[in-house]
Amino acid sequence: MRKSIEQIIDATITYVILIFSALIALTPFIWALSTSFKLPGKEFSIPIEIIPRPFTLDNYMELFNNPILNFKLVFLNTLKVTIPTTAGVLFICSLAGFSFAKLKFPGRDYIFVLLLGTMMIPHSVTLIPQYLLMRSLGWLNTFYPLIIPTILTNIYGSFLMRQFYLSVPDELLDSARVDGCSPFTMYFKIALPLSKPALMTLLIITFMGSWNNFFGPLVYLTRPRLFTIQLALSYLNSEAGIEWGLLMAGTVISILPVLLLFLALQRYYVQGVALSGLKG
Amino acid sequence: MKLNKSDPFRKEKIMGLIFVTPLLVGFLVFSAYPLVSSIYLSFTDYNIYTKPNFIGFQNYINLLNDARFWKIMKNTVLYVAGNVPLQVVLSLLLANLLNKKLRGITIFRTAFYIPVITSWVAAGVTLRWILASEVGLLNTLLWSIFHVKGPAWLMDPRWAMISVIMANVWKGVGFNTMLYLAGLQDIPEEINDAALVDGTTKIQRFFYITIPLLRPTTFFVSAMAIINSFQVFDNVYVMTGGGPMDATRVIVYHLYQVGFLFLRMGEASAIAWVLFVIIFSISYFRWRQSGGGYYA
Repeated sequence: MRKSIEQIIDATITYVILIFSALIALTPFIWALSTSFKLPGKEFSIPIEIIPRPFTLDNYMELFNNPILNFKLVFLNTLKVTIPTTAGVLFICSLAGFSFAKLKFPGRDYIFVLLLGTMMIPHSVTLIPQYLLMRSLGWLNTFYPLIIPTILTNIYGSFLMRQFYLSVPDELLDSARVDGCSPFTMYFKIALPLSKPALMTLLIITFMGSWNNFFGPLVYLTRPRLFTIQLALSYLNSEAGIEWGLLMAGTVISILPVLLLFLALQRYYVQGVALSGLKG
Repeated sequence: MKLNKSDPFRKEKIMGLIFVTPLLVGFLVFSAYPLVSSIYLSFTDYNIYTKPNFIGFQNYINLLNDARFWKIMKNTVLYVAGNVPLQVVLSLLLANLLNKKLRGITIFRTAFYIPVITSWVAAGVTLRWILASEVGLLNTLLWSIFHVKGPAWLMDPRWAMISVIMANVWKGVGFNTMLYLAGLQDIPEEINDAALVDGTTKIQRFFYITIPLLRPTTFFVSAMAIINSFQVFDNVYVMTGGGPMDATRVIVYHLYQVGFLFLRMGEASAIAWVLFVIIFSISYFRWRQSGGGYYA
């Protein structure tokens, strides 16, 4: 009996701390959502209104219909970056991960360790030469600098896929080898369909990274017609005298796609994070 | 290894190499070449418009003689020193709470994760609104609940750095909590059960079993936090722009301005290498101290 009272007290304290922490974590979002439905000048009303009266969608309309803000174009631009990036990363990383795990080619393990080593290089060191390289390729104010390096230097994704393919039994592939399957067929017909969970993990992590990327667009895109969503939001943020309601509507819009994807694929995302903390 | 025609795996070896070729190209073009080029640039006065002149260590000497750069270094160290311990302690505590088998606990895991998946721009803009001096939610609440007049947070040089650190802790704790949770779930239940039989208290078990067994996780979490904190950029750019009065100007923000606004590419490369040496030394020192045992 004594023990169960102790457990109840323990559970209560846990819940109180957790609810308090969750409130701190979520309040800014609730407040942003609330502000985004407020009319100009009503953002500061006291007492605080969570569900504002009057309730307005004007801020959202303004974002999409105002030809200068033009969030329709901004959304489209962002998708033009995120979709090719994600597709490319899934293909290149799964192909390389499969090769590192299952194909015995000369120098394989040296190459793998070399590539892993590049993960230690801070991004800021390669930043300036990369920019100069993109400049000499004529890639400034295009989406290529945001897509191509992300795909071709994705060591984390290749590592993740390799770890997954290591757990695929060799016997599965051996029978395909006896049947004369080419390595690409083995990858495409056997390995790839098995790796759906790992691909989902990589998909959500890549999409999120690409959607949320700010530094890349900031450096490579200077023409407003090319702005991605993070850049457009930051631009709004730097405008003096901008309405908070409009700014919060932009924030909500920018979070929504990532949030929905996260809620749908949460399980895979958490697995990916856990794996990044694994040693060896 | 020879690739002769009679080798039945010949095709597989060639294809294996072809499958990783994109990454090798990426390595050469976007990692190896920029790394070498960046060392060279740091010894020049390159500014995009004129040809680079080799000037030896002049960029580095200028940086070390620049009082403003020292202030920027101090700010960055302050940011790291404030951020890392808070992240480690809070995420360790939260992970322990989330590891309990209670009803509805997964909802909290999701809640703590939402700041993590949000972009820094969206989070920073929202927090600017919360922290606004006269009309922000935080100061409104402080006044109506405690009758305390809150500071101007991001606009006040004394509070700006503290605000930026708080913002980063708010956004980052969920990620580290998830890493700790993964670590906690690897601790075999038998160990805690055995300690329970021996009559230990909950606090004893936390300090003498949980914390020591989580050392690899703590090493990894703090290593990542140190590396990322030294390279903080997005939240400073969005929330303070390095101000007020340089109070939150940090290394990468400075690098961005020198390199991409003033186009002093040589100087910016030197700044990048100073940062690299700092990060590398700390990582190496910590790795040696840990006995070289952890792979992180």
